[in-house]
Amino acid sequence: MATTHETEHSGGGHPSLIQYVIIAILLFAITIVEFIIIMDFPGESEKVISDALGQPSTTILLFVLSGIKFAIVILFYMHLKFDNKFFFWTFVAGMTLAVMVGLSLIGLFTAIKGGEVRASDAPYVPCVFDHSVGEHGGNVCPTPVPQPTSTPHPVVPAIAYTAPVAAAASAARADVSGPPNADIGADLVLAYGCLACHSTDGSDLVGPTWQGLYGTQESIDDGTSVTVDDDYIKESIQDPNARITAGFTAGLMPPTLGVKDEEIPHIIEYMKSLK
Amino acid sequence: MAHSPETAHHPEPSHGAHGEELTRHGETGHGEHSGSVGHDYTTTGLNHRKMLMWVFLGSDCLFFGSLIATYMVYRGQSLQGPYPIDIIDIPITTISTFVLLCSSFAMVRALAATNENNQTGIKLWLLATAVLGGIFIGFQVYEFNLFKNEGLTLGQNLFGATFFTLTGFHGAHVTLGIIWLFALFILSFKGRIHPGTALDVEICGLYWHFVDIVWIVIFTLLYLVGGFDAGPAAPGH
Repeated sequence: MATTHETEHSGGGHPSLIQYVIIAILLFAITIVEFIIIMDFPGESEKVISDALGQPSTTILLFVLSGIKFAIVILFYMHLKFDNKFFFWTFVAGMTLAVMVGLSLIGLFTAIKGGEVRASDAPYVPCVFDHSVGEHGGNVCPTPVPQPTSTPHPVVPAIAYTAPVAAAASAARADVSGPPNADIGADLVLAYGCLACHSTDGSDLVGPTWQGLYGTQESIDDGTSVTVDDDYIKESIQDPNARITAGFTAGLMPPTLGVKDEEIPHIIEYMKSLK
Repeated sequence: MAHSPETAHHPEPSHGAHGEELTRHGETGHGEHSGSVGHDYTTTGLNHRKMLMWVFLGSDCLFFGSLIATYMVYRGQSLQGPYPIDIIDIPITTISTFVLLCSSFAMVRALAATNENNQTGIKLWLLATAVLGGIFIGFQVYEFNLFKNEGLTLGQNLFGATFFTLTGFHGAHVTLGIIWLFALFILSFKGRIHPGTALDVEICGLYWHFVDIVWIVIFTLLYLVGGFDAGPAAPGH
């Protein structure tokens, strides 16, 4: 052991300058490879490499490359390869413990998060997004497909549940290119989960009811009022916190629902039909 | 292991695998300096200051491991933007990663210069390491400021909270390292950095390289892998 130690500590007790330069170049090269994998080549809009490899393979490849960099630095720059093995194991023990704690934490949160699972059991979500449906996932609706109901919904903050539903809308939406149609609008509000917070029977849930809403004057929490017209509804969908109806809470409606511009006229048409 | 239990009881520094550096330092004739090593024998036979640094680095793994795990737990959970894909700038951060890798190389050269008692080299490489670390911090200040102007703050969303906590604590580690390096740099003008005190430089180097490897992990997870994360409504999420 001592002999090896001395041999490898040639040139001042550590790897020689040339060896260190090679190590540095190797570290740079790996970083450049990582960068190219992610960005491909400047000017190219498509990611040739990462698309060809697929998302999981790219991630694993990046983990392996950075793992190599990590190992090179601790073994050579930090001399763990040459130093007493007790240092090596001291550090590896801490590192292993850290990795285990981290994985446990991620595992626990993944196991108990269950936003989608709870949503599927909740009566107030008409349709539930299921990743296993179709190529990109889709909505799973109870049979028969629930229509806007007069049963008062429980008042719950629904942000956590509407988010996964929102992603489904692009997969499930109908042809929205035609003139505004209340039936298409009804499908859309189901798909986007709007009805989790907005009733159609006059009862106020988390958000204002839609019954008889169109064309009325709404009081805003800053003391002003606004006519509920096409522009106001569009604003309320795309920037929900811009103007909050008096008596309701800002920040509950996610601005990330992803409702398309061309879908909004159908939703407005549906709201007009709720007399 | 090369050092058998009885090794620890030998007073001669030449015994045991750990003894080489200690012996070498002792032979340079600088043993009278307060920063020198080689006269404190421990039951492990290992220098206790170096041992302390390794124990600290092992525990610091847990510190960063928890912060990284927290980031990963909340990855993609933000309901409001800005999301990583909106603001993460991978080319800029690749450059700052290069800068940090360069500083690690400079640190290695600083230690080599110390072992060779190359006083010019010591000053040059210590300063280079500190300045490169400072440039890295400059990149981080620029990035944080840019993110703030784009609307990402600690309280904006889960991404902001976990991102700033993790990278902020890493930046704090780098800043501490820079102060440490400058302290060594100043000491070098008083002739306090030489082969007899090489352990001072080596321990600082261990800390500095550790900060580098933490950044390797952060760069991979937050930028290369997580940098394209979008909001919950994005297709394919």
